[in-house]
Amino acid sequence: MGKVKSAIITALLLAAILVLSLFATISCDVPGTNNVSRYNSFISSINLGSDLTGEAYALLYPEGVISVSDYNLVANDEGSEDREEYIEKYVLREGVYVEKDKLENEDEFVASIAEDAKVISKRFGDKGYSKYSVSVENECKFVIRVAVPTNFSYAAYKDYDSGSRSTKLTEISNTVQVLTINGIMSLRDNTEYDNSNSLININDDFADFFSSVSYNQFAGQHAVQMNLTDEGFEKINKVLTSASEGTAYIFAGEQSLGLTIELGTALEAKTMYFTPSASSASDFSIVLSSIIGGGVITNSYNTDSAGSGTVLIASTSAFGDYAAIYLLVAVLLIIIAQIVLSVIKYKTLGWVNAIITVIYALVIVTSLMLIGTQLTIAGAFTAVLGLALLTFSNFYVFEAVRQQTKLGRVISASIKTGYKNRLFTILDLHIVVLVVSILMALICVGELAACGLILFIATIASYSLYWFTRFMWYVISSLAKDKVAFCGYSREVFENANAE
Amino acid sequence: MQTLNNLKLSSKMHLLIIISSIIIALGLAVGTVCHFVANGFFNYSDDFASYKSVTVSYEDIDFSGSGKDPLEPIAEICEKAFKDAGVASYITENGDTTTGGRIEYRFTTVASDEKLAAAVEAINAEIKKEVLSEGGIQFSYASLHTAETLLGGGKAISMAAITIACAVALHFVYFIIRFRLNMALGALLADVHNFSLYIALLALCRVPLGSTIATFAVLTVLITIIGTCFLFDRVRKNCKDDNLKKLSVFELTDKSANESLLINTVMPACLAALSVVLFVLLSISSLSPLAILAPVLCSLVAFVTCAYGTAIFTPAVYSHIKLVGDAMHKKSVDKAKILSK
Repeated sequence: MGKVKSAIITALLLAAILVLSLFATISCDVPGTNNVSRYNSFISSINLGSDLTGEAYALLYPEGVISVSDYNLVANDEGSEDREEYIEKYVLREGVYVEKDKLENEDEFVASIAEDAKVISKRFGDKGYSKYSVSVENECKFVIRVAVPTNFSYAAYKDYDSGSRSTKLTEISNTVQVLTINGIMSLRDNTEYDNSNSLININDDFADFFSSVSYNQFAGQHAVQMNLTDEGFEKINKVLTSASEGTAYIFAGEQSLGLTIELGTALEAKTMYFTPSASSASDFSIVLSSIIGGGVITNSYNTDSAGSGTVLIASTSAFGDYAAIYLLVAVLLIIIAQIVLSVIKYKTLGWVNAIITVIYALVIVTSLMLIGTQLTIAGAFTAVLGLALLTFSNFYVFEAVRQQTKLGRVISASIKTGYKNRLFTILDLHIVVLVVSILMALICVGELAACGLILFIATIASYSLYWFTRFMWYVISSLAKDKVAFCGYSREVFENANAE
Repeated sequence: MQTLNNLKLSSKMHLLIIISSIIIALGLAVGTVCHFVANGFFNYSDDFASYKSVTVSYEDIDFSGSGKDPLEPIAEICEKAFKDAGVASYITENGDTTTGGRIEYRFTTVASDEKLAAAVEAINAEIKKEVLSEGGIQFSYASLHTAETLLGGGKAISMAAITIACAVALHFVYFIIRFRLNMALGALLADVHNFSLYIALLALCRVPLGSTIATFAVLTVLITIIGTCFLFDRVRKNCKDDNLKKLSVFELTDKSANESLLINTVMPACLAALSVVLFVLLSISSLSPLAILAPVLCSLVAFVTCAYGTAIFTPAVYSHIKLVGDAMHKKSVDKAKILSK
């Protein structure tokens, strides 16, 4: 390759890397918007796991149980109309106030909460969070604690992107509310439970009409897919055709899910599709699937007057406020160490490897931002493992080329033979890692599945960049006069032979 | 890079097997005993099992009060109370609500109820005496709970186990196809050895471990797979070399191990360095040092295990597998010759 052509390609590539690096790392206020709009870099837009940005948790108080805070809000307010009633009605039990009526059958009440927690736990498990927990507090046994990752990006965590922060908290809050819906499924003639009648025969259970419910996502559409059994298909068609017109609403407990069926027309297929909002589709399918599988919650949660609504508490990470920054610093230190090692070992060729390392980092950061998978500390280790795979693949082939050079071959022939000799080793390595990453992504749940996805991206990037290294080696070395010195190699055998 | 050649590790298989077996046996024994009498095979943290917690809920409705963040004095009081009672939490969480906040200290289930109850009593008494007098906080209440985590990490563990089993099986089959049966056996042994060592060392440590244990278990197997790919590739190449064919099995394996030593030790070392750097940095800001210790310990154990297992143990054992395999092959060839005669 000509030197001019080589210089142009190198300059263009470096300029592209520089621009992309700036967009990937620098967050700033957008000029001209009076500091209203803020540009958040790729890296600060990556969704982070609970170990880096903490978790959001909610305390679920069953009907008849309220927190001490909620009790005090009313009981300490002398002007409150409900004050006397509260004092009369509730009794303090291990950090919560419980209705005296509920304590008459305390064991039964406590057992029902424990059962509910199991159902709630199963539902949250189906949601696929990187980490979550559902706990029952054993001493008082009246409160369920649900904790999920906030899924904040660093910008949202630090409130630079308050819109995204509140959107994510609202999403979690909605999910907690939907996944803790109590009661069975029903089909009703009105969207308001109190003003509606069930359309299903009193002897039938509407949940038995369905064999399964699943969540489907395709081409930006989110759907709840409900599969009817043969018997359910017949029965629901009877219900639908018995009325001339109107709308039937699917309820979970006393809450309409907004999934409607037109009355007066029989269904043609045994599969029904509903398309609620993207955020609701997954939650609705989990709840309906749970109810069909017999997972019914018996108590209603956080519905008592003073404690109405589920309060979501966004806690700080146990690793501290700056855990994400420290993780970034640690990864940067490893990258710098890798670059220094490669430059010392391979001189200018080491800089080619450094460029490839930067491209790898940009690929990972951009992919994580675009795909939206959660990055945890283990995820960062996985990304570094991918970097190690790329670096050692390159070092391995550099050594093979060095061996060829020592035998006296010219550098172009050494590169060709070196890459040829290592072709199957590197291919074997990447195939095995790629298959393991697919296994991790498909079989595992939570954090490990996210790590699997990161490893999948990292392996693809590693193999592509391995070959791109060869191209960049060819391009950049065209600028060098002594191509052997460019790589930090020496041709000992060749020189000795000449000397002899 | 002549270390392995000089030490002739391939001929010291028995010593290496004894070292590994002792560690694994000790780990399994400690884990099994603890499974019945203590917190479990590993010292599970809140991701997997029950925990005890002391929770302080507080309200600062009157935000105009002292203007001081109530979390600080409450945290000081709590920490002093725990210190006086002789208990240490492994994780601390705090968060704000619309009317105040909540801080939670978690302890393992083996923490003494009496000590925790004494700490709670002291906290409530101190909060009443100190904080309320300063104004700003309308109400504060500390309570002791025992929580049973229902799922969280449980599913992650079982799914990770399935993934590891599938990965090891795939590794073995792939090596039979692309390499040789004796190399596939060596790779299988490396996977099993490294994984067992990782499990045993963590069972011995008794540090509260979260769901990261599963992640690093998978990473252990993954690094082993990468390491064995490099190691057996060198063995495969050296076996084909006419000059090297003359070497004994031990010498050939040592040479191959030596050629892949850089990769098999530096790669885990880089990841271990990342763990240490992260530990140092995170300990500056972490609310609870024990919380950092768990993932860092898991990663360090994983990478040390991989470096030892893949670079030192596997070549030593593989050379003996090859020796036995070659002897069997020779025997069967001789037998075939005799039969043909």
